[in-house]
Amino acid sequence: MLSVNGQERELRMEPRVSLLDALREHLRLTGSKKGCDQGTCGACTVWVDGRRVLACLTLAVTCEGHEVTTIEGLSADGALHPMQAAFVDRDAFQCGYCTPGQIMSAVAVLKEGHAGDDAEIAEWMSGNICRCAAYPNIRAAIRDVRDAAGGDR
Amino acid sequence: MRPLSYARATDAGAAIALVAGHPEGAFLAGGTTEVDLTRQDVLRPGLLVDINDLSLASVEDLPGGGLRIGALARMSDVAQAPAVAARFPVISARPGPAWSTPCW
Repeated sequence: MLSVNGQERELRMEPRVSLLDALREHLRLTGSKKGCDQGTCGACTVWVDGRRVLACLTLAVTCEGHEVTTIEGLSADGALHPMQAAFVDRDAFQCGYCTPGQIMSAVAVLKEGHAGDDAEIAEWMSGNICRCAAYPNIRAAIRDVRDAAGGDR
Repeated sequence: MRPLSYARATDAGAAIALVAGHPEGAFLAGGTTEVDLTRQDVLRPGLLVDINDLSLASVEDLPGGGLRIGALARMSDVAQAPAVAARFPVISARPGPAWSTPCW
């Protein structure tokens, strides 16, 4: 049993299946992207118990008993999460492939308190690579959400 | 990735016994290196023993000024630990993501 975005999901699969493949191929939650499949690019970033992890290097079986959150579970009822809205406002993407991972990391960076200034944001977002190099706009989106929330929280 | 078996250890003794008792046994901690190298066929564990339920994530002061860093301490937690920041700033100066992308 895997708890994903607040729902208990029953899965039958081998221990070698990654959390990313479980989400995408078994649960059809294709928001999390497979970029490198070797933990380098960050496109597969999801949360396990609120902590960001790389779904490609996490075995799904290890997540049993823990809560997995994907980009699909970031907000309810189809509404945009403030970070998603900020990414749209700031044009914080070009091709969009890395965006779900960027957003999962961006929300986590604010929760972790690692968005004090641009250098800190860049450091703590460094696990998420954007080949289109939308970094300045990604940082602007994170600043917007940080400032709207009343500081670095 | 080759097929493998999986077990979740409930205490350190059981984890050690499981790995020792299997010719291709290996521990699974954070997993970013173990899973990556297994997928690349560099490592070939037949049994992965998950130790993430064990209490091994602490960073403790030792007499004499040293630190004991638990096998499950995440790099980003180590980098932010007050004792590390105060006495081993070279470690804190490069938080987890910059050391090695997979290890938050």
